[in-house]
Amino acid sequence: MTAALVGNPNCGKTTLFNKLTGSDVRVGNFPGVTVSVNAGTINGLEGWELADLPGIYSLSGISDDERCAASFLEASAPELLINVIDGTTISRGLWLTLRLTSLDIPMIGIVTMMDEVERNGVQIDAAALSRELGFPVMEVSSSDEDLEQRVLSAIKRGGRIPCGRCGRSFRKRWYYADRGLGDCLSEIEDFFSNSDESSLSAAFRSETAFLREREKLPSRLATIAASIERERGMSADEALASAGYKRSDEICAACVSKISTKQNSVGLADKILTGKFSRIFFAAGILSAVWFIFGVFAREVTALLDGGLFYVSSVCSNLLNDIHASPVVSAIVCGGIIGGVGSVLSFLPVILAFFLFLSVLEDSGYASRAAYIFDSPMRRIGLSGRCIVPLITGGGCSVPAIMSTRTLTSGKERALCIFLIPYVSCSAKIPVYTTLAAAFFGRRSGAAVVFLWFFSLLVGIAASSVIGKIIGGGKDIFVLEMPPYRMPSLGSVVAVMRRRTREFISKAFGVIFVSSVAISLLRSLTPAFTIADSPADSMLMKIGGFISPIFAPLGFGTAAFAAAAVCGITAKEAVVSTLAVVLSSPGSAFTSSLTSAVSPAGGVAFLVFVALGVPCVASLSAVKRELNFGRAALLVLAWGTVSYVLSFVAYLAVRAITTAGL
Amino acid sequence: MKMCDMKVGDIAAVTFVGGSGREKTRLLDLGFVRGTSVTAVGRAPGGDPMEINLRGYNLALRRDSAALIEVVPIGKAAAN
Repeated sequence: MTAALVGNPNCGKTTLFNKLTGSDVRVGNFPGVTVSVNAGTINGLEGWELADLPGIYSLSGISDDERCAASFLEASAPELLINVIDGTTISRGLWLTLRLTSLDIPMIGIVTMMDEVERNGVQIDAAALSRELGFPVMEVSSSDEDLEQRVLSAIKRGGRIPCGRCGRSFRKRWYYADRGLGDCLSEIEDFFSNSDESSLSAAFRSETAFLREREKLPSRLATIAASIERERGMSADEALASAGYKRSDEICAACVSKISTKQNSVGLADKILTGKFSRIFFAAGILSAVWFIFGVFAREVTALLDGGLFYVSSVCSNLLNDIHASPVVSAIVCGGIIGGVGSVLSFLPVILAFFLFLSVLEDSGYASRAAYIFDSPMRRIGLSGRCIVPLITGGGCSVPAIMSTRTLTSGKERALCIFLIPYVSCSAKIPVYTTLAAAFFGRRSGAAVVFLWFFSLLVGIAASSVIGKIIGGGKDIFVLEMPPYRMPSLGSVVAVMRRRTREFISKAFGVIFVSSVAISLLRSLTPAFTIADSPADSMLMKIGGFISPIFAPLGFGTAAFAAAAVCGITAKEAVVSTLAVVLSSPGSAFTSSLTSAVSPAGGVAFLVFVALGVPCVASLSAVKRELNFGRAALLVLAWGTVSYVLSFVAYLAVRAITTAGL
Repeated sequence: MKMCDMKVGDIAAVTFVGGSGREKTRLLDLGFVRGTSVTAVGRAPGGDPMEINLRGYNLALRRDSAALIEVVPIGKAAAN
């Protein structure tokens, strides 16, 4: 048997789902986080499954979430509807409740956030609500100890079809404070239920017909519908919403004392954080937090892990030596497998830090505020304010940033945002820029790195406006709920980090591991599968030599640089490590090996190519998950083309400057 | 007047929701029905989007969406 959780976005439905099914699902104060239907078995209740429907405002079928919820309800016909209502927005939430009551499915109601309701000085009478709505309603807050017990017993007691067996026409009159409208809808539903199998389908179809598809009605009913509009001086959807909200207001008057019409009580915090000048300060503060989390903490932990893995790897190779294993096996096990595991693990501190950052932003409500502040400038580059959080995250690591675009409701916006994310140079790219710039720009390397960072972003913005013209997509109305600031709860933040990290590992582990093992083997083995004595004999260099003509127009058509460019796909750090290995000559510093291996123009072109290049495989696997194949392919093509073309331009420009200068 | 022209602190009542199809239905679903009282809470730097309080919750809407809603002023919020 299936129970479906239905309610507005952010009403606490997903927290309830977590508690009842024990699985970790994303909870966020950023509306729209649950985009697909999650289902799980209920702990402690045999034979019941719980489905967590996307948060919806009504069943009008306007957004993907609503269509998904409606089709789930029609297709799966759950035995019980659990309507979760946010106590702080109950006046709005009851609109959905009333729409749900016309579906003829047994319902129970759970009013959440009661702790906050009480803090606002409001009282909700659950018994009175039950009477008015016609099904059992209970009040909860997430900190309740016996929350699961109470909900489980409510499920066991079963729901009630609002108004019992009073018949559809009675129910319609009861629930819509507009008799004429109610009667009309009942008649339309009777008409459809004569030809339809399920009363659920009839309910959906009758509403759609009344609102938008009069041609499907017999002329008598269509005339009645038209006269209803005329009498009220409103269109059909207005009439329906008016009647529904009128009923909602009546119910609130009877059951809720002192509805707060003051703004949510965070005036001071809001004023500080979104004030005209302070917002810049806080935005800068958040960016610095990003850099701090990444640059220092994550890298320190990564260095520790690297050290640990190096130790494990040398122990391993000693062991293998002791048992006289072939050097090839040693290369495979130590360099390949341990190295592969190591490269996955090296992503972890960075990923964890970022998911922590994201979930704190979302749970506290600051993500909505940031979207609100940045909506205006974001729109000028073809995105919306909601993209600011993924983009800032991208400055640390593209993988969580790409995964966080799931909250964007418009498919086109999601694709454009994902396209732009790699152009916000991630924390793995910065050390690559620094190392390469030190070689090619000497004392001005600092300025070069900063320039490159901004240049990359500008290129991305320019390119995304072009891509925006290629990708089609509907324009959805921009609505941003501004929930009150909440203290993020440690429990939910940790749960989110665990789930997201697990998702990353399961998706990206294979890809990072395999590519890392492959590169490491290619680096140490000759085409004949023996150990390469010098880097130049390795398979990697042979492959590099084979593809280097592609890069000849860009000024770095040598095997070494071609190989490094390719290795950069596995992880950006691999660019420098590969160059270090293949260019190493005893007695000379890395920087001088670099400058002697390529012309200044070629070096700069290579730097530009790496900066703007296709993102690492971990990011690509995240992209594949968020976008359909067609769009993902388009983005990869775009990334590759932009980096090639601009690298070429850079080569020509620098060559012109240096020949003129010299 | 249009809702987008409200000044911060103004309270008004909705008289009409314009627009077509999806936009209008979305606004109606959110509670912008005739007679609803709305308060202009604030504006983002640059004036767009604007933050509105209605039915006990806060919402941010872009100027072009807020322009679809006609309101009639009914006073100012008490300074707090």
